[in-house]
Amino acid sequence: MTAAAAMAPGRRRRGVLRETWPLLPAMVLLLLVFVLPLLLILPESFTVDGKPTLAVYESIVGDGYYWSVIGRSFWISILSTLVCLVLGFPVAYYLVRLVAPSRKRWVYMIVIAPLFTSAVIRSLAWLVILGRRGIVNEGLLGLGLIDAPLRLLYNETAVVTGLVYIMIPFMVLTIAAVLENVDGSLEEAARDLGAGAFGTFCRVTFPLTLPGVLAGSFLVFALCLSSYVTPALLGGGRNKVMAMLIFEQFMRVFNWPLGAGIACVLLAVTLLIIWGYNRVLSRRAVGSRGEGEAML
Amino acid sequence: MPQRGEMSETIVRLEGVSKRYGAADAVRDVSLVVRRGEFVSLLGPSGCGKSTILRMIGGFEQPDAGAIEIDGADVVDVPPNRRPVNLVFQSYALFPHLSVFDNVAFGLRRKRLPRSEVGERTRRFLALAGLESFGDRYPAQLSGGQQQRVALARALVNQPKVLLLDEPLGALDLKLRKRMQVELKQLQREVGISFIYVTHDQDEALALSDRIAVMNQGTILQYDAGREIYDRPRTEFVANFLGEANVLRGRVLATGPAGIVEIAGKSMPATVDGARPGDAASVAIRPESLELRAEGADVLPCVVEDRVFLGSSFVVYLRTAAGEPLMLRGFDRRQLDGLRTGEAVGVTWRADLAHVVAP
Ligand SMILES: Nc1ncnc2c1ncn2[C@@H]1O[C@H](COP(=O)(O)OP(=O)(O)OP(=O)(O)O)[C@@H](O)[C@H]1O
Ligand SMILES: [Mg+2]
Repeated sequence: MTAAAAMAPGRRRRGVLRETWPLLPAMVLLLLVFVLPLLLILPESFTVDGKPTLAVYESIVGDGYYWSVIGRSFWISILSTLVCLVLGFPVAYYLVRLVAPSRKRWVYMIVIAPLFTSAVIRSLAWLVILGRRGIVNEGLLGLGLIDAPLRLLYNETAVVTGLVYIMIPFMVLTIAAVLENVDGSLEEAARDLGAGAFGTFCRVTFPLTLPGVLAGSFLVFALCLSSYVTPALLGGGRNKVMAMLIFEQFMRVFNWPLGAGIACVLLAVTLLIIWGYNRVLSRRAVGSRGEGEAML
Repeated sequence: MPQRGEMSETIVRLEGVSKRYGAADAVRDVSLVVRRGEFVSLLGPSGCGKSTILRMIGGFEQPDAGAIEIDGADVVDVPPNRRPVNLVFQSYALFPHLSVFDNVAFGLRRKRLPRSEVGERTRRFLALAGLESFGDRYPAQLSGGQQQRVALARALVNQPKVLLLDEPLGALDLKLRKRMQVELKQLQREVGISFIYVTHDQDEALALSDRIAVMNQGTILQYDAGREIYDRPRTEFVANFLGEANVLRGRVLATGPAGIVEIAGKSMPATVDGARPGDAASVAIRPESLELRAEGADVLPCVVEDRVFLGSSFVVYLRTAAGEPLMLRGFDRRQLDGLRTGEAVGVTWRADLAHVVAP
């Protein structure tokens, strides 16, 4: 009895390892290149001139400038994610349900192709399109629709445009992957049972694709929030986002404590949002199951 | 409300319906009439167009030609959600994110029925399908047979004028299949709704149907009561597909119900219509209609090639003098014991049990 009780934890530990060993290499790598640097940086943000202090966080929290950058970062990322979702879902639907099988491969290629070019070049392309003497302005001037070039660059719209363009393949591919596994006969069954095209989408297609929508949104949101090149090139100095601020503190101002502090705040807020989003959506997913389905 | 007298006997009518995919005909000039309350099976080999017909009635495919009427109304341009029919999919297509209750209630809620009525009717049909206690479960938590019943209840609860079933028992093992066949037939009698049932299992079609449409390559070859088709198959394909059949080549000597066909030099009895004396003909005889007999004018000499004991029955494989294989099914064990492989025997049959069939 006692012996068995004493052995149980050991056996359980070995059991866990038996299931999780395939994760080990990735875990070690993640630990070395992600968690370890983070743990090294964390104390950096609590030390100024070798003394422990909360001064960094006090200045971040106390200074409205940082809040405005944080706010802008999240606003731009959320907006970009939503636009990606709204534009990407129909593309994924087309890709999985509507396109002729023989052409499917080509559409996939078109969706993936931009990923083969670096974000730097793809952002620069937008400079050519949206610049003072860019394609859009030249075109509008040529048509006589405007008298002076519009200021299309160096604002939040330009950043969101660039981010959406760069991130949308991730959204499309993630949703398409999930939609591929949603049996088309479920949609037919919904039609058969009296649901119209829209009702079928709302009650069957979308709820069943929700995991893809969630995963795609997380992915795009995280990539947007951490992106540096696109906001830097299209947003200009006046529309700083957190990644730019962190880069600046580490590489130009050499204020490592402040850079580390901002990085930690960014991470904390991101985790919080993802946690909240997950909770809300998973509760909704459960809610749509019970008799509440009638109200969805 | 239409008067009782005005109600037509016919609930579904297909008239010259055709459907092609690319260059291939999936369904060719099919006409079919299903009566109110009738259980009709579409029976045929894989790829013969059974599902395509069902999907056209359900509204999921558009016919290229022909008319489809349900309860007297032309439905060709009506979308699936507005047709008074429901389809039970082969894969069941239960909504995995909805509970059993919500699955069954799905159709009623789309009709915007009052909440109390939705609840009441859903519970009634759950009970009818023997699923009272499963309402809160999700499809993934059910066995295959239970999922099948949910699919049935989900369709029947809408009280369609016709229920379409696409191999609904195909995914079940043999034993469960047999049990579900019985349940299905009882259910159909109880609700009194017409069923159009797709299967490629001849036993299932025979056990369940009022009438069977035997199909091949997109056309209906014969449409009649199962017993009629079994007893009087019109083509060689039908004879072989519905039950087992011996088909022997010969030449017609006399026509009529007591006709004579010359087979391997012998004058054999057969029912001959649709052929004239002198015509080449194929005669179909069921294995159980063959009788062993000693020499005679209407006895076909054969050699025993093999004998197989099958429990309640036995089968003897024979070969005629012309080299054609024959299969005899018998039930009297003593007869089997008297036969030796390689032995010469004679077989014969009654004229009403042998039929000239089209090739
Ligand atoms: N969407 C489609 N595109 C092209 N051809 C199709 C399509 N659906 C069916 N077919 C073809 O039409 C023919 C009839 O198909 P159908 O599904 O009706 O056969 P079935 O009798 O139901 O066969 P099974 O018993 O295997 O289900 C087949 O040759 C099939 O290949
Ligand atoms: Mg089929």
